Amino acid sequence: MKYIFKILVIALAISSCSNPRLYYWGSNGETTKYEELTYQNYDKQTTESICELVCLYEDMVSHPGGKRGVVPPGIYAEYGYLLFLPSTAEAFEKHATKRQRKLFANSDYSTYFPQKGEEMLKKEMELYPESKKFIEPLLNRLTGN
Amino acid sequence: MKHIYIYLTVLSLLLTSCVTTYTRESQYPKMYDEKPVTLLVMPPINNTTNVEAKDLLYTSISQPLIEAGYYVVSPHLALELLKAESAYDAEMFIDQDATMFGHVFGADAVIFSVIDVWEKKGLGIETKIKYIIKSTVTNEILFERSCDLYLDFYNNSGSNSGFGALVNLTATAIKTAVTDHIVAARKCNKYIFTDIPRGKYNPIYMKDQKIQASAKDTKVTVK
Repeated sequence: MKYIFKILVIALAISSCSNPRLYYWGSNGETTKYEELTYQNYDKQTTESICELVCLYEDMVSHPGGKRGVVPPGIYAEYGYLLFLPSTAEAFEKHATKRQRKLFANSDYSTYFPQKGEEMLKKEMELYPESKKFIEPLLNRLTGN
Repeated sequence: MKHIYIYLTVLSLLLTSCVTTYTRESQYPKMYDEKPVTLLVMPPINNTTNVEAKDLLYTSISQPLIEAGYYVVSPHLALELLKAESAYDAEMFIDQDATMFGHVFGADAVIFSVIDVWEKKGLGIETKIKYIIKSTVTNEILFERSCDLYLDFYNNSGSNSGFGALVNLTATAIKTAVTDHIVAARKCNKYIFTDIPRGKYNPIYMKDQKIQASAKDTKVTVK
């Protein structure tokens, strides 16, 4: 009986720790934070939804997880593109909360965000070389090359 | 007594032999032949009056495919270019040459989806969606599946008491539907892509041919 109990405890511990996903999407619930926020921002974009999305992407690129332990395909690219948009720095400057601002060491968002955006788009191509055909022309367009 | 066991065994053997069993390889052999790595999601074709359905599905298709091991061109980034190339209306391309998507996006295959039903019915959401994955190399259909799904929110309440059920029923009726619709879109995608052969970034890539698969057209009620 004691033996069965031990097996049950170990099985429960393993099942609670296991993450069946390949990647981390901002939360481990059934509907991920990524799904909710990207739809929200796509459907009705507000300055608050932009700030939340920036923070979600920052969390996803800083804490890669899941079975592969790397950032999911497309995330560096989406984040990079969002940072390049002047409206993102503007929204963050005016509407980000104190907690959200703490995520970034540099508070000159209009200069820092496009720099970081370029870095993110390059990381997408490094990690996923198949993205180069689409991302490289996009990056050239954004940087004016 | 012994005879009953024999009859039951023979009967169960007969019943199981009548059920058709599929594998991922038997259902989607062309996915294994072409081995697409990069997928491009086209904006869904919406045959319903629910305008939100198109956006809900478009923003939720990529995650399950990425989780299956594919590189999916970000729909959020692709959308601008699709609009610029006058390629936003997927209807125009579903029966046309898809090779241009390979040249512009580097995609090996394109995903089309057709929403035929997306409506609130009773205390749930009813959806009927068809998905097609078409090669940008050979223009062949690599994957085709439809899902007739009813998302039942009432039975999802988990309450057995009469009062609890009444509270949940009222709450369901007045609840803002956005999250519910996201759940419906996610469940549809989950069912459709459950049997998709796993992609390059999945640990079982090209090792899943013999895994059991379901019929191509499914009808399910989920909670």
